[in-house]
Amino acid sequence: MDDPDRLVFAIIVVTIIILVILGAMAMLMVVNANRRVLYKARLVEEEQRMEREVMRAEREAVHQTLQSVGSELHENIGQLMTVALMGVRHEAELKGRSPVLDGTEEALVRSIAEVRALSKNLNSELWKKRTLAEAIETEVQRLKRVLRVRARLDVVGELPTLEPDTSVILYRVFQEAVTNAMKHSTGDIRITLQGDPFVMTVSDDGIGFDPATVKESNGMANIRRRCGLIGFTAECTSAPGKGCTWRFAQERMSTAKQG
Amino acid sequence: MDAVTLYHVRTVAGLSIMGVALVSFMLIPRPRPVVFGIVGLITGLALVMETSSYLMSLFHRNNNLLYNLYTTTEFLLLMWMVHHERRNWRGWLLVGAAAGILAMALNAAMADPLGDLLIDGIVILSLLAALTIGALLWSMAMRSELALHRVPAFWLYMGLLLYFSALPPVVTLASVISKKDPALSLMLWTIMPVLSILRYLLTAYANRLQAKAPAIHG
Repeated sequence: MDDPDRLVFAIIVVTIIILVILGAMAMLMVVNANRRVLYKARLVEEEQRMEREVMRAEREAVHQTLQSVGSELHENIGQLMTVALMGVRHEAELKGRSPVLDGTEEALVRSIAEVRALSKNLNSELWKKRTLAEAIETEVQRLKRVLRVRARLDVVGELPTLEPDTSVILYRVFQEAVTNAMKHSTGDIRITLQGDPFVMTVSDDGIGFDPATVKESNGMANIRRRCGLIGFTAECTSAPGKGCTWRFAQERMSTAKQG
Repeated sequence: MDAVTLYHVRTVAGLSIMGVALVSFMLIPRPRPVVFGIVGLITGLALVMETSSYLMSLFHRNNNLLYNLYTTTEFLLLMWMVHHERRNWRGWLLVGAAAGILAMALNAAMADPLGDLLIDGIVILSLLAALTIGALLWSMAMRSELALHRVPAFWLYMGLLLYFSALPPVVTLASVISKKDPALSLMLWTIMPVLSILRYLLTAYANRLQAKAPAIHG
């Protein structure tokens, strides 16, 4: 072998060594990239799980408080008002009816009914006994009666039975959407519930807004976040002068039992 | 360019790169990661060893004893460095270190450690070092939350892997063909100083990255 051939041979050996090392480096980088992607996905999943746990704990604390308030209203305040009503009726029997006593009796009867309705609403154990449709219907009736809002609930098809936690979150989301509708609309509010997959829409015929120019509020972001945790999508469609429609659609079947 | 001139050019280039690597290590702000400290120590020892070897060669003196001692010390320092990074590998590292020292001791017993280069022992040390650094790099690839190329220690270990994984095949090949083709064997021996230059270039780059981002350590 002469000198140029020896040099070529040496260069080939060096090149092979460097190529092998570069190959090893590339393989290590690919392995690392894959691990980081998996790790990030696991981290996101863990964060969501933690958030769900925190939300569940918060919900349980709120439920307990509301249940206590509901029970106090029913047992304590309700009873006191019933005693007052009995006193007014007894006085009417003794001294005869009068417009003042009649007015007082009517106010007490209505107050007792409102207290009982409020107590029923606050008692979240009812989520195990009543459906989301029933809860929304109760709230719609209260809005019409107390706040004189023109609201209507339509149920289309057979609705699946939802887990109590899912029903509670959807109910709170519905409340948030209706509150926003009442702020920006003096017209009608329409709520529609459709079954399998479950879809809830809340629409109003108010002033609307341009989603491209208006920054998403904390309330809207909160709605989307809560829906995400229970496997629901939340879409808001609006245009200036065309009102606003919220559409909440079930994306994962695991959150609902087939009734 | 004749062989002697090439030797001088190659040696001075290697010493210069080692000097750059050492300076770049000293520019890392304190407190320096232990890994970089150990590699900095190895770089310093290598610079001293290579400089004295070069000076001895000018006076036609043999530096094989110095090189035998240096490679053993370098190997043990590398094992210590890996132990610092992966304390749960202690058992395996102790076994590896013992195997390396045993290999050098056996080679020294069969040859003349004062006059001869303990090639077989050095090849085994390099194999063990390459396997250990390779395992460390794999472990880093599995654990690192940052992209590997952004981790300064990654380049440090790649430089070490390049050098120690190339040494066994190159030196073995050069030894095997030394009787058949001494000129080719000599040509192959020059590969190691070239790879040494690449190794210290990567070390200098790793030191520079570490100096710029001291919070990152793989």
